[in-house]
Amino acid sequence: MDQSSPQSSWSTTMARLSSKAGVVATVVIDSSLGSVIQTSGHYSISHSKSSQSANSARPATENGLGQLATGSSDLEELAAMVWKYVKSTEALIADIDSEDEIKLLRLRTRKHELVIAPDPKYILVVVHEISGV
Amino acid sequence: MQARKDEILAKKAKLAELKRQRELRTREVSANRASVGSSSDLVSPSPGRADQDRQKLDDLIKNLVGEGSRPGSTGPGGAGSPAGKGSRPTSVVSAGELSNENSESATQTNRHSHPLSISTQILSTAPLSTIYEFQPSPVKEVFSYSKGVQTTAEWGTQTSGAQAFSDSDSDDGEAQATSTSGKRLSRRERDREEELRQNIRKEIEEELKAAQNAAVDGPLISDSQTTAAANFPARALTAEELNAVTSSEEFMDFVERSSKVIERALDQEYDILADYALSGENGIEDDDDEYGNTRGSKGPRRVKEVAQFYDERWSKKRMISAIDFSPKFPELVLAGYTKNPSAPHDPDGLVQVWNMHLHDRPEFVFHAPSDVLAAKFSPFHPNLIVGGAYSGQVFLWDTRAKSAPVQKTPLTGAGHTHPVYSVDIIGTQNANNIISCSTDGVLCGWTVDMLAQPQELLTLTTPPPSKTEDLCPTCMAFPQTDPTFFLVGSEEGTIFPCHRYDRAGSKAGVDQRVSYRGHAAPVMSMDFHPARGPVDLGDLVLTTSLDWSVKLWRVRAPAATSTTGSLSGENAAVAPVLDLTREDVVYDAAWSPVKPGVFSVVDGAGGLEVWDITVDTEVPIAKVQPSGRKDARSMMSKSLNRVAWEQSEGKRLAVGGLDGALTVFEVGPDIGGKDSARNEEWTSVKKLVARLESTTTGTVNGVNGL
Repeated sequence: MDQSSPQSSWSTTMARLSSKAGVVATVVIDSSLGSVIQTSGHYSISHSKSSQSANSARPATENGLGQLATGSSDLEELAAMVWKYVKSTEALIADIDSEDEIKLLRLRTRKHELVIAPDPKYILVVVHEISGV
Repeated sequence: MQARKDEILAKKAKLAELKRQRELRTREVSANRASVGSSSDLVSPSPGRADQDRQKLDDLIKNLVGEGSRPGSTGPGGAGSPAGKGSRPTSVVSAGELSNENSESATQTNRHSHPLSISTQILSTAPLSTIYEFQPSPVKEVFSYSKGVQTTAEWGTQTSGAQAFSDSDSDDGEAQATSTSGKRLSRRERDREEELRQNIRKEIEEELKAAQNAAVDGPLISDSQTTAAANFPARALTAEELNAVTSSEEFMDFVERSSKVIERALDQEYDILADYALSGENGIEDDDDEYGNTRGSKGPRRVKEVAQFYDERWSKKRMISAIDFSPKFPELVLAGYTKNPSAPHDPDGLVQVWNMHLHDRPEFVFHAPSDVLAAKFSPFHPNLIVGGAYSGQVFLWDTRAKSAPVQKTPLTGAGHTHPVYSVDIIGTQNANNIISCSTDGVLCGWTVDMLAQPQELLTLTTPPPSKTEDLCPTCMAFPQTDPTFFLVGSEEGTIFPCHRYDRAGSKAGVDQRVSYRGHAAPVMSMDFHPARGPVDLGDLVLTTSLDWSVKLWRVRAPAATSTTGSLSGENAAVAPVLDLTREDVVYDAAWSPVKPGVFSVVDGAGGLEVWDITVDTEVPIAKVQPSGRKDARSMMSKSLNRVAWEQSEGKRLAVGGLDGALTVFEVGPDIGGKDSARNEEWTSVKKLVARLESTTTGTVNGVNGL
C-alpha cells in the first residue's frame, strides 16, 4: 500500500512534521545547488536595525504543502540564509577536523528554535516556537 | 607518373572504342527505323544525334558536379566494369545508371577531377597525409594522448559527451572524408573535450566567485530582496527536476531519516535552557499534584501515564496482541497487532516499534501476512524481532531491513498448522533457539538463521487419566535458568510442566507426574519470576486466566530426582500458593524486573493494577486506567490485553489492548527503579511464599512432605 505511492509517503511525513504542535515552517533545500525543494508553513523575516537574525513570525496558519505561492518568498529567503549558515558551519567543522561532519544544528533564539538536519545532498529545516519560556 | 600516364592512355583508348561502339549502335537503330517507316526517315537522325549530344552533355556535367561530391569512390568505381556500361547508349537516365556512369566518367577525367577536388578539400586531405608520413614521432604522442582521451572521454560522456560528439560531426563539413582516419577524429574529439572542460571549469569558477561574492556581500546588503537574489546561488528547479529529486530513493531516505531526527528533537521535553533561578513555575513541577487522574496512587507509589502511542494509519481498528521492551534500547517498545478488518488490502499482521522520544510515529513498522499474536525482541540480538502469527507461521524481522519479515516459516505441515500464541528465544548469546508453541500442542524449536524447517518438533499431549489426549496450550513460559524445562498453560485451565528433551526418569514432552491445577478457564498468561537478586525466587510463576483470577505458583524442580514428593509418579496435583480473585477476566500479568514482590496485572475492564505482595496480598498498591482516546469506540474497547515492564530499570510499564493504543506508564520509586529493591524484600518474599505454601498445601492436599 504504502510503497505504491512514494510521493505521498514522503509528503505525508512532511505533512505530519509540519502539523506538529509549535512547528511554524519547514523547508527542504538541495544542499549542493541551494535550491528550495519543498516548503510549508509561513515565516516572515523582518530585518530590524539591530540584527539580521531577529526574526518574527506572524501567526502561522498552516498552509498546504509544497505551495510556493504566498509567504514562500520569505521562506526562500530563510532557505538562503540557512543554506549560507550551514555552509559556513560546514567550513568551520572542516577546519576543526576535516574528517568530521555536521549531524544536526539546533539554533535557539529568544523566539524560535531552528532545527536543521544537514545531509550530504539535502537540508531539512524546521522552525518551531518555544513554548512556555 | 609514368604509370599514371599509361593508365590515362589506356582509358582514352577505351573511351574511343566506346564512342565507336555507340556510333555503330545508333546507326543500326536509325537503319532499323528507316526500314520500318520511310515517313519518319527525315526526322529519325535528329533524335539519334540529340541523344548523343545529350549523353555527352550529361557526362560532362556529371564529371564536373558528381566528382566534387564523391572523391572517395573514384578509384574502385572506375575499375568496376566499364565495358558493360558502354553497351548501353540510350540516355534513359535512371538512378543506377547515373551512378555507374558517374564512376565511369570519373575514371575518364581523373586528371581534371583531381585539381578540382583539391581545391575544395585543401583543409582535409593535404595536411592529413603530411602528418602521417613525415612525423612518426608525433604519432606516438598521439597515442599517449589518446589514452588520456580515453579516460576523459568517460568523464565527458557522463556530463555531456553525446552532445559534444554530434556537435563535432555537424560542424565539420568534410566529416565524411575524415571519418576514415580514427586518430584524427580522436584528436578533434580531444580538442572538443578540452574546450568543454574549460567551459565547465569556467562555469564552476564563476559559480564559486558568485558564492564568494554572496558571502562577502551578504552582511552588507540590507534590502531583503537583493540579499535573496544575490546570496543564493540557487536557481529555481523546474517541475521536472523537482519531480526527479522528490521521487528519488535518496531523497525519500533523507526525509525519513532527518524527519525522525527532528521529530525526536522536537519531542524532547526537557528544555535545556530552563532557568530555575527565574521563577518557580517551571522549576518545581515534578510533584504529586498533577497525578490527579491516577486515582489515589500518589507519591512514591504513583503510576503516571507518560505516553500513548497510536498511529492513525496503522493502529486503527487493530488490537494489540503483544508488547515487549527492547532489552538493548530501553526507549524502544514494540507492539504486535491483529488485523484491521476494514482494510483488507493492508497486511493483516503488524508490529510497530515505538520510541519514547518520538511520540507521533513509530520508529519502525513491520508487516506480516497474518495476524501477529506474539512478538518479542531477541534478547541476544538488538536488531531482531520474532513473532508468531495466526497462520501458524513464525516471523523474523530485522530493524535494518524493510518492513517485510527477513525470514518466515513456510506454510506447510513441517511446522505449525495452528495459531502460534507464544514465542520465545531461549538459550545463550552463542546458542539460542526460537521456541514457538501452537494451539494444537506442537512445540517447535528453530534456529535463528534458518526458519525453513524446525530444528526440533515436540507434540504435547494431555497425560493419561483424561478423556482426550489433545492438549491446547494457550501460553508457554520458560524459567530463567533452565532452557530445557517449561510450563504450558492449557485451554482447560491446567498447567503442565514439560521437558524439551528426554531426561533421566522423564521423557520429552509433558511431565506426567505433576500438574498445576487451580484455574477453571483458559490460562491467558504465565510469567516466571525474573529473580535477579540475593534470594532465588526463580521458581515462582504468576498466571492469569479467564476465570477472573491471578494465581501464584511455586514450581517443582524439573529434575525427577529432586522432586520433593516421595509419592513419585501418579499425577500429583499442585495447588497455587496464592489466589487473587479479580473483578474481571485477567489477561496478563508480569513481574517487575527489579522489585521481587511487585507485579502488574491488566484486565478486561481496562484497568492496570500494580501489586506488591510484600506490602499487601489482598489489594493492589496502585490501580490506574490509560486515558481514553477521543474517538474510542465503546466501553468494550477499554479491555487491556498485554502488559510489559521495561527490563533494565523497571521504571516503565506498557499496556495495550482492544483499542490499539499503546500506553506507557512510569512508576514511582516504591514500585520500580534501579536501586529501589532492598535485600530484606527478597527474603520477605521468600518467607511469605513459604508461609503461604505451608498453609495451602496443609489445607488442600496435606500430602506433600509436611
